[in-house]
Amino acid sequence: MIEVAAIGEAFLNVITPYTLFFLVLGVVLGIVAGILPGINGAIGISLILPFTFGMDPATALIMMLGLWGGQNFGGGVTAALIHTPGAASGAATLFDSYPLAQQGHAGKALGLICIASAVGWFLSTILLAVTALPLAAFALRFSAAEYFAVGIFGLSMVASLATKNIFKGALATLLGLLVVTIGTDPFSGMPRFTFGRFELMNGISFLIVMIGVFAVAEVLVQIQKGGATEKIAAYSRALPSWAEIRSVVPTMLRSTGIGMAVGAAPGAGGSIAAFIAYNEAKRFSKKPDEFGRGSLEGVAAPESANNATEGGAMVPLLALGIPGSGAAAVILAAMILYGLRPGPQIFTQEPVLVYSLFFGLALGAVVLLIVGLLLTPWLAMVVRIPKPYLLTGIAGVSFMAALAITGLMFDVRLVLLFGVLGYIMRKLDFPPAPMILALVLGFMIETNMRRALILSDGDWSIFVTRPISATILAVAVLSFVYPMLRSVIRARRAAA
Amino acid sequence: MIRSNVVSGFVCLGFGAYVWWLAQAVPPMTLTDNLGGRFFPQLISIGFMIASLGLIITGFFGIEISGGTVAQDKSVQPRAEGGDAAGGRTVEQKAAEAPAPRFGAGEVRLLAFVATMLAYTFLLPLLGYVVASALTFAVMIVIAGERRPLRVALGAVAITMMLYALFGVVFNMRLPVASLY
Amino acid sequence: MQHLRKIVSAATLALPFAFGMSAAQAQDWPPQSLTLATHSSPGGGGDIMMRNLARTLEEKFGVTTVVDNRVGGSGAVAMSWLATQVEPDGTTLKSVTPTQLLTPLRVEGLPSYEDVTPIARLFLDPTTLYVHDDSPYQTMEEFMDAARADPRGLSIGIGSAGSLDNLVLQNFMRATDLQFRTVPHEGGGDAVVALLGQHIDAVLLNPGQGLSHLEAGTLRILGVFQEERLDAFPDAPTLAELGYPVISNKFRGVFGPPNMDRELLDAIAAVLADIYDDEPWRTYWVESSLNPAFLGPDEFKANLDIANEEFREFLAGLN
Repeated sequence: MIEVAAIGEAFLNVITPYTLFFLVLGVVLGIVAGILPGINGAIGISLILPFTFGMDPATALIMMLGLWGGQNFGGGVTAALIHTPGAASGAATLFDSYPLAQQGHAGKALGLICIASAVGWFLSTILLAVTALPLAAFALRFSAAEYFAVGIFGLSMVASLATKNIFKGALATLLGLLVVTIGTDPFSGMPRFTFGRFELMNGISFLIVMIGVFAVAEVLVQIQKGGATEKIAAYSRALPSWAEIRSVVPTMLRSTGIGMAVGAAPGAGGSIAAFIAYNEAKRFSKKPDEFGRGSLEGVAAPESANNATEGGAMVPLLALGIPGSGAAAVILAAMILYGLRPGPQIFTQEPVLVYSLFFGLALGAVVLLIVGLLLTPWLAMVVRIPKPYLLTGIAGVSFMAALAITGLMFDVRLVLLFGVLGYIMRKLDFPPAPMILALVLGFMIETNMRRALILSDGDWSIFVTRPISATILAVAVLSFVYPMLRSVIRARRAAA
Repeated sequence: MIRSNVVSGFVCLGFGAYVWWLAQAVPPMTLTDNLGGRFFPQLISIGFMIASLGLIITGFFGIEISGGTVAQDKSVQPRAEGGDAAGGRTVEQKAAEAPAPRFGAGEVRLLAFVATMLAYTFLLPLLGYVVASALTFAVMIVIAGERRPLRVALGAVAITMMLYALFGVVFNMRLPVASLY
Repeated sequence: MQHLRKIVSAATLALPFAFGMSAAQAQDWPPQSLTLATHSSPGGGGDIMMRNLARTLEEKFGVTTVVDNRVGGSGAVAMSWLATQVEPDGTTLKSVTPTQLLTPLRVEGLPSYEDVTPIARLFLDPTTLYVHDDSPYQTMEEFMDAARADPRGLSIGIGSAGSLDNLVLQNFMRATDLQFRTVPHEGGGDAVVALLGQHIDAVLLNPGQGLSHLEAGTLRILGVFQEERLDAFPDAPTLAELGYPVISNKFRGVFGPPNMDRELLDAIAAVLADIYDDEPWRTYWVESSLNPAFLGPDEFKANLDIANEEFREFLAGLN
């Protein structure tokens, strides 16, 4: 199966200055696309598509893959600096990277995001090269019941998110689940809760809610607080130390595995993987109390995971010819244009190309590490911009992001509406994080629950009689109950 | 009694009931599945109403039950009462410090900023991206505390141009064009 | 760079026109810069079609093109924009699929195909029924016999509910008096994955969605919902041959803004009718298993009228 000659040829193909140049260009463009909210990997890749037509297929595809990976990193940068993810995949990153940057460690936060991204990307490439075919076969065993169980498992994490009042946490979660039901009913194709507005037919983009609830709400809180001349007291562009990097190695490894597995399942994505990885990092952490206040593990986990989903998403793309996301769909279209047809046969028919892609991906991670660490000190300076300009800039970026998603003024006003809602929620101690988690997972939970019930012809036992689904659900229940049990036990011990 | 919890609980209860009522209009089953588009939203609206009731009742008795890891937070130092027998419960006498609605400079800034953002969404299609943004951003910078005219102008133009370059030029996004002239 | 390109394009443009095309092409089309709009996001079906069309026109005529994704509202955003804000000068075209008929039928007050100008139908997307290689059903008859013996026992996956595949499946069930469980997915790719994992018994999709598997033999086509058999899969019978004339009408074409000049309309249609063998257009439609099915402005409009009535009935029965 493994052909040494093909591997050698692929390596020589990738190592040429020509290919390397476009790989670096792709990564840099990807980072910029990721930093800008509303500009996603699919948009970035389709923009460079016309320029790649003259190139040889491997170079063109490597450039696109570089852009895709860079985009996952950029999303985390925005999360750390302005409290809103630049890309959906950066949603879970903001919980800890923003506090860390606000404490004066902007350089550390960004450096760690970069390192974790590169590690997740690099390791997932190796996993991809070794396990693509078996992993694709395993992913096929996932049916609607299993996807439903994964969604519930992700949602079980609300129990461990910090909440001052559990009823408020529950209400925020349920509100998120309700927002997802706006749009077109996926099982009838008819509008549901759209109030007769065509702008709502596709539902409310989860980025719109996030930008409102995090970025705009943060701006409003700061505006009310005042203090125009005050800057962040302590400010450091210093990168994380070796000891700090070493301390998150286990987290990065675990998160890479999670990202790879979630990415390999078509239909799940970077944001879901990031949330699950964040929760697992917290569960395994020796210092779970630091999560939400600038935990290094909390920064590293989602970033390793979301970059690893790229390697994961290559599994169904290459092995099955099925794109798991918008970015993958554009890459698939490009492959078809070049006369390549992904599927199980591509590994034997085009081994040089496949290995070239693997080498390109692995090198892309290295490029990201270098470019990202070089950029970090400059990006970190954003937090030093005087408040009036920074807040105005964030407001402007929020509007541009909403416009970039659909170009509708309706969506811009929606961002503002969610901004005001987010502000009120913060003032009344309703936590926004569970609402975002519910938004990410809600659609997956509802559609797969209904699909599983069609498959079982209305028999609810399908969720517990299928072994994979039953296992995941059992773990979900445990992880929901465990944080509560732990606090009870601690309280008992303290009392004793 | 924690007044803000009780009041927000009642608001949420009303919202939950509204969602239940709204979902009544969704057909109970579709051609493809028997669960229909109504089941899931109604299930959530029930949960929503139960959680609201919980918030009202606990709020009425002045109890806050914390979740997650916030209980270890120094800023919400639990005032343990009799060894905290309820386990994991943090009872806080917050009723006294329920903030009386005051209206200071901060609130004026807040409302002005929200109004400016809303105005922006109407100015954009009218004046086009560049003019509307430069104007709005200038007002925002003033509200946020910068009063030196030259800096306000430079800041507004710089932000407008930077967003234009990144979104409009690099990523080829369609920016709103003016319809007024 | 830009200037150089224009000079080159002027030279290439001169050639075909110097040898005099038909009289209908007195109008110059395509123009120097052309916008190809679509309602689908990057990577979606309409987006890929327009990107291939863009590249084909660029190579053939040396013009510059922009693909404009007007995403949102199940196509309504793009349609409203086309109906109200686009100049009818032939510089802007928009892709069209049955979605553009279905959405205005779902929500009142949206512009429909009657508020814009149908220019040409380019392709028909064949709908086929395929099963896994391990499936016990070797032929369409066996599949239908199994369904007859066990009503609602078999499940058929489709890309999404309320889509044209849903309509074809419904017509199929009506014509044969059979009962299947309809399983909507988040797109055709997801349905193929479910079939590959053997979680459903069959899918009703375009063969392009599972082409590499169909060619490798992991999936198998049982029947074709169009008038003629597919060139690539000559063994699969049409439903009409089996006695059930169920035909799908999943068209792909282009619309223009309202009030377009008749001559311009014919000129655009003439160019579009003429490029099927140019690259990369040809690769695109062959690889996507599309059938060239050109209709000019008037025939396309008449075809849309019929389709619109059928869709209206279909949607009325959905809820």
